[in-house]
Amino acid sequence: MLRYIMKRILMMIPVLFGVSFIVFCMIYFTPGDPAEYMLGMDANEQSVATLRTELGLDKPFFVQYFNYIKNIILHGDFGISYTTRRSVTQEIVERLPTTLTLAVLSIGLATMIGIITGIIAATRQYSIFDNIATIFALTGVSMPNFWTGLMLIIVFSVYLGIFPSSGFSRPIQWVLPSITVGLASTANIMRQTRSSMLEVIRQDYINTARAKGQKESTVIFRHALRNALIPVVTVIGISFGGMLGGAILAESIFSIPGIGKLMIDSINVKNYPMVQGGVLFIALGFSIVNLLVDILYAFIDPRIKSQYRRTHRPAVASQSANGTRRA
Amino acid sequence: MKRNMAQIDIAGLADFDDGESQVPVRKIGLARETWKNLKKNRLALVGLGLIILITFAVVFADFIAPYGIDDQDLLARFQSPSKEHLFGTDNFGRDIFSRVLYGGRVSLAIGLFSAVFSMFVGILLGSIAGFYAGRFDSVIMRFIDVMMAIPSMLLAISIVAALGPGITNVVIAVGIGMIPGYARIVRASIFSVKEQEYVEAARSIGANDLRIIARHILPNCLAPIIVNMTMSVARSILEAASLSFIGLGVQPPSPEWGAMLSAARPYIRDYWHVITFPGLAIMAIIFGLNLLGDGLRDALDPRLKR
Repeated sequence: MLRYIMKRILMMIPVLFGVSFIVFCMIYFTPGDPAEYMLGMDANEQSVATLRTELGLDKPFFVQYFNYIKNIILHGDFGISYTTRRSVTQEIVERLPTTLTLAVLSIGLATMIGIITGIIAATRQYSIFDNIATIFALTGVSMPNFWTGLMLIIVFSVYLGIFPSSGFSRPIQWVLPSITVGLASTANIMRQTRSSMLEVIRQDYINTARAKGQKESTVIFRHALRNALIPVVTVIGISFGGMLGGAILAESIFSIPGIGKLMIDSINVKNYPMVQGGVLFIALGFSIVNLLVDILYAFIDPRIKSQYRRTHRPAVASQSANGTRRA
Repeated sequence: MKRNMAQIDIAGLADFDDGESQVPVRKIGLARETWKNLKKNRLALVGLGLIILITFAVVFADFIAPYGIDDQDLLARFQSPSKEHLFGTDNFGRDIFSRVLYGGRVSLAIGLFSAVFSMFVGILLGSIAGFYAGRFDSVIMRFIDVMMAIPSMLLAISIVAALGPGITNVVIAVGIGMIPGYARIVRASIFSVKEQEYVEAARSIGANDLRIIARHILPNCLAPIIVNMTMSVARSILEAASLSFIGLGVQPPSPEWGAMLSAARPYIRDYWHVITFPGLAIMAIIFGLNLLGDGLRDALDPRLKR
């Protein structure tokens, strides 16, 4: 298992290099001179040229890319923000906890509500609850999350005055953004839980568990849910990527000072090192979540764990399997 | 299912015997079978109906819309929905209903073109990776892995930030984010059919790679491509609207649905209707496409065919 985790971590490295290269290319070939952006329209040619040399912008493409990567690996330095002249890393790290809090709250909310409603819908198939939950799920995945956010502001901030429409410093301010970001994922998780549960609860071992006289809750949670969880975990992992995209919009709608808002503000003023850094940070976070999801599979499904164990002795494993069949 | 596979195989082989005569049989067979299954699914029919209705309204906006796309009436600003203005009016006194209809043309066109663009590139990359395998496969799939490491919305934002706003750039930005999905589906489908006898038969009579892929392999991988196409149109519309909303996509005064929401945003505290209806339009078309996509997935799934 440990070998598998190490292998996956090593596989992440070339992917992240690839991401850095693509993002670097995109920004490099974007028209406009960063030195001119930094110094403004009134700057003379001499000072622009000096700054270009200072920033290493006069060097060939691959040298610039090599220096960029070297600074990230050796010093954790993603460059300097054109607007604030501060370190990109510092600015991102300052905002990271806010974005992470929003993402974790949203995924937590989506997972909790999605799995619970999914289980109830599956165990009471075709009931009123199931129909309402299905309609909610279908509507939830179809709503653009920025529109959901605006509608929530109109209803809960403007008309009812229950929740504030901006900020993220107090827990009460977390409610609307978390619902906005998590709604589509709640619907996806609910649909996946319902369909996996429906598949699993028709299996013979569920009938056996019931025939043994086990309580319905034990049958559902211990026997059915655990086996239905694998595709649900996949959906949760995939949702996390969508959530990072959604967080960008939600942060902009609710004026939350996170990485998403920082990136949009940076794009608007062509602050490209910040955009590069933001994309790389988010890609790193996304890759780590995907890795965690893969590891989680093994904890949920002992069959997967045993597969990794067997990889050390494949010949023995196949022999015993054949032997069993012959017997 | 057996009947359908038989038709596909016969069509594949018949192609060598008497040319085109058998080909329509396969096409009609697959379409009929899909329609037969789809008809049983009420939700999918609701989705299809919704898509047809919206597309019809948007295409014939010139005849349906009561006002012009930019007709302003500064004396009738921010009017609530009424008989004269079904969805009310905006900050320039423009009729929101008419703008939603005209704006649908932009939103649907972006959705369709992005999906078609990503489908072509995705099929090309997936076919090369799946058919030739080996080094081609490794290089293409590592590239796909890299693209998949960036959340699609973030990728679209980065691309459009580099290219600049505008409809064409939005189509490219949104389309690029969906290429990995198609490439993976096509690659996996090709892996599952390329060793079949009919491919070997085609090769043995001297068909070249392009002909084998285009005429014999891809038609047998159509099911997942069609389902993904439906879903990717929905995703494109959503992502394009999101880009326009944050000011990076289609720019106002174009009535693209996301751009309309972006322009209406400062007034939401006082006038609820200015953002409600363009948002509902986005929701309705995506709802329809999702229902149809789900229905098609079931209708084309051989395990569910009876």
